[in-house]
Amino acid sequence: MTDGALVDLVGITKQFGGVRALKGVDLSVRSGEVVALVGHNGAGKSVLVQILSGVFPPSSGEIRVGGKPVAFTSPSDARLYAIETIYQTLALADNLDAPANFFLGRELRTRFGFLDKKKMAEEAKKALADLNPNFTDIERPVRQMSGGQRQAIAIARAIHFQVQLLIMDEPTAALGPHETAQVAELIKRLRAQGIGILLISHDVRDVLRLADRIVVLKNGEVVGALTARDTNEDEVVDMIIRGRKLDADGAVK
Amino acid sequence: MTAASTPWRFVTPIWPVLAVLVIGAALLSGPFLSPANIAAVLQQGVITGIVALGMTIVLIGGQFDLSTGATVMMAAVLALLLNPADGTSTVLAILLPVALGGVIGLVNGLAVYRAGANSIVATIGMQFLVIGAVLALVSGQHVRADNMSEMFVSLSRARFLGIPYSVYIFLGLVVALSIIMSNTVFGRHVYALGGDIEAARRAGVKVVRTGIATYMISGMLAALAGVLIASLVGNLDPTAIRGYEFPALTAVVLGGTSLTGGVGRPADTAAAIWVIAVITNVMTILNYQYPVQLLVQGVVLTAAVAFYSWQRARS
Repeated sequence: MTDGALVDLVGITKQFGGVRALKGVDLSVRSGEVVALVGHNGAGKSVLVQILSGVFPPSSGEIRVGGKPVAFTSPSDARLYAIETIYQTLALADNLDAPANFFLGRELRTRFGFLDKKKMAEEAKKALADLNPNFTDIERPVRQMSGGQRQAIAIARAIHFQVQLLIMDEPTAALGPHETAQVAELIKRLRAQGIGILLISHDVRDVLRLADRIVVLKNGEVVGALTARDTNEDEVVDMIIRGRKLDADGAVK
Repeated sequence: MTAASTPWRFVTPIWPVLAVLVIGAALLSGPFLSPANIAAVLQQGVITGIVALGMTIVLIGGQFDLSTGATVMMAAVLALLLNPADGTSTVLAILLPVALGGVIGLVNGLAVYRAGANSIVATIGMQFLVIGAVLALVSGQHVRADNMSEMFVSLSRARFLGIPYSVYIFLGLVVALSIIMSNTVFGRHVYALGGDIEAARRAGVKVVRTGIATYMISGMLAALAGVLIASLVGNLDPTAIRGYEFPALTAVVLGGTSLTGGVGRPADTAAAIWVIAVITNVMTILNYQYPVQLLVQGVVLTAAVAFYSWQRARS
């Protein structure tokens, strides 16, 4: 728990049947702060992401937004608190075009109550061109689009609607070096705008470069929190693997 | 060239097929184009067509509704049992079956979207339940209504400009559903369900509510089809009107609605209904027997499914 935090997770647990995926996780993100969440597959990262995005509720524990306890019954609840998520899977409906995906769940309507397709197309086009000026052919099913274009849609819709906390689940996993650099630039830009970012990534080097703090998750528990400035790749990797910090002489603390 | 700039994207393959068939039918047989025959062709597909429209909506959402045939039967029997002889009973004989169709849809929707049941199994289960209940209610006997009111009979028999009211009802539904599916938030969300239900959920779409609504629309439309049958025949053997769900599903698929959801349009289902009606009509005029007609329909459907699969694999 931190004073002035955008979002606090306090004592979050999650059980699936007999499996304890999270065993009491505390985590907070402040405005303009990039917190990286790292850990092995199965450490509980994506369960935590889904709890914070409202996909499912925690078994116990509390989510606080601006210090006040909240309960999310659906992803739209999380969106109401300006928490947006870019999922690793992108969560796009492949049969719909870019504007439809962009505005999915918060469609613009004309005053007669019908879909305002023209306005949605214009706004989506503008938002997507901001990310990638070459991305203009947006009105076709997204299944026909490239990985980078699909990623752009997922990112654009997450940052378009007054986001305060942006959760990015492996945002660069499917991207080439050029696009990865673009995402890094974007993270810096959003951070400068005061947006809090929870970054989930496998790439320790990326994390060290982009994050302010690094939180290491192992077997459903936070095993360490590091300040990105004061640590290095070896230390982070070691913590991911062993779940402990090493002493200077190499002994486990 | 963007898809948006091509009006051609609105012309799905079923429409040229329909055009070719109509021209071919006109050349092959003189009587085809007579006003009376055109009216007959249009009327022929109405009942199946109304059922198919509802199933189209459910299937665009990615699910099946195989309970529709039973709902047709329920509605036809109930409408006759309510004996629509005067104004009040006529209104009741229309509204009650349709409302009950909505309830059947609600239960289907809850089973599939709330409880997560497989839609094929759940709606076949509902089919047995409804057929069983109806047959128990009438003890397996013939039902008939005495002195049906003119208003009730006119639903299916009265004509305007030589075309039965039921055809206008069907056309009205096609237009209304086309607008709903392509221009409302609800329609957009149904497509999203069929495209990727988890993505829709995460984007904040009210998945359960939207899904239930698709089944309620399907249930109410199937019931309306049943009411039209009652209006047309006046008395019926309940067991003789089973099985509407399969010809309807045939039309839905022929119209290009994807069996995995997310793709399809009500108007395309209507075109498919007319394709089947034209084929059947011409073959009747040319004196082909029922088995041959069935055979041709089978070939058309199989070819259509193969074509759509090929087309989707290509894109």
